[in-house]
Amino acid sequence: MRNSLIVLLFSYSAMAFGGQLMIESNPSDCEIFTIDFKTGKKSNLGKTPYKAELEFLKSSIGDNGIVQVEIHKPGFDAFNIAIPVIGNNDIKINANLEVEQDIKLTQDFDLLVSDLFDVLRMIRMKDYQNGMKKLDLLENKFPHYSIVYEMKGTVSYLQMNFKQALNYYRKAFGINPKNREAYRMKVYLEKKFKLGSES
Amino acid sequence: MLKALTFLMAFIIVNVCSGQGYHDMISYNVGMVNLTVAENESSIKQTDTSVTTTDTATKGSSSAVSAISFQLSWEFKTYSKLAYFTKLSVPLMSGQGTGVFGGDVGFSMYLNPLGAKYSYVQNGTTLVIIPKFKYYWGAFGGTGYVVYNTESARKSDVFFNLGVHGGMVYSMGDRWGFKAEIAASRTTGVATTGIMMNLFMGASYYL
Repeated sequence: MRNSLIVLLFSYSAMAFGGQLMIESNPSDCEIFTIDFKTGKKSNLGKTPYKAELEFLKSSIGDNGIVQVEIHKPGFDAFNIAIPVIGNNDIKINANLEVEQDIKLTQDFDLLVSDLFDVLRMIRMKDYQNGMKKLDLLENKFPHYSIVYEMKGTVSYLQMNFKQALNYYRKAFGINPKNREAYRMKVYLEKKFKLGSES
Repeated sequence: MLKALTFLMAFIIVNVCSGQGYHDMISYNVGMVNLTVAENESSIKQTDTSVTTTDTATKGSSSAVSAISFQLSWEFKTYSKLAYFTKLSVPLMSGQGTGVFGGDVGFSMYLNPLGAKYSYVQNGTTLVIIPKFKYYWGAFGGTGYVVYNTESARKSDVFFNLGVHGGMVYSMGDRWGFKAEIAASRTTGVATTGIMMNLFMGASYYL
């Protein structure tokens, strides 16, 4: 009876003073792996959201001081973090997984194309001001796409702001010398204002 | 005055609300302060035999002050194993108008691998490590004011003190914790010297 009481007391104090490992992720339902630094052995811990006693982690993967945790879900880049498992600490990880690069690129293209169609619709409705605002936002997000500057040139041209239009066409051609429409308009406006291509 | 207050508030906000790295901690404690006061004695012995006077001597009396006190402590400049702190204590309940007021600065050395809450935030990912149970020792120095009673009078004195302390914090949740601390210090005042013992318990809060 006395022994059971001592065991109970010890297990309670271990629970009370023992740390916990809590892993959450965005998106949820990601696989969690631990990787042994020395052997490179990968063990599956479970899925997010995950909660376990740190003692359990130490007993299952060994008390090596630092453990690498990998959180992974198909379609997202794997998230890696090295965490210290020394002492009795509560460790909370909230991992924000980035969408895989290919998918991100596709999503970006999708946004660019749909926004450019929006701008075209605004130009047709002669809503140049909002069109230009949208192009400014696109310029911030996609500063290396010549089509954005070409469209800005077009909006400026339709607003009879020819000098600004010429600047945008020059910038579009500078970014992408294969942009024929930008080149054509640049040459046309330079002739119109009798400006050399360097000026 | 208002400018100084604004500057102080801005300093605290900038230093306290950093949000990343090691977190500072404040604690609100209630406990017992016991100060044994001994008045300084002096005696002047007449050595000039040509003059006839009596020896002059001031006999000091001793007293003890016990008070239930409130202590507010702020740990700043926190590292994994070290933290600097400042603390203030005021008496809540004491006998016959006596009491000890104190203000100290010092450091605490943590004896476990991580002595403070650590957090890291980047690109929407957060890592938070909170020591479940931490214990520490440290040293402090400061100044104080004591009001004590002798057999015939109520007296007061200001003093400097130097001391050591030890304690523990048990974390409950992300920010709160239970704190217990014991301290002993030597006080040296204008008219008194003494030994002060403090025992405090309370709540700690990570900023």
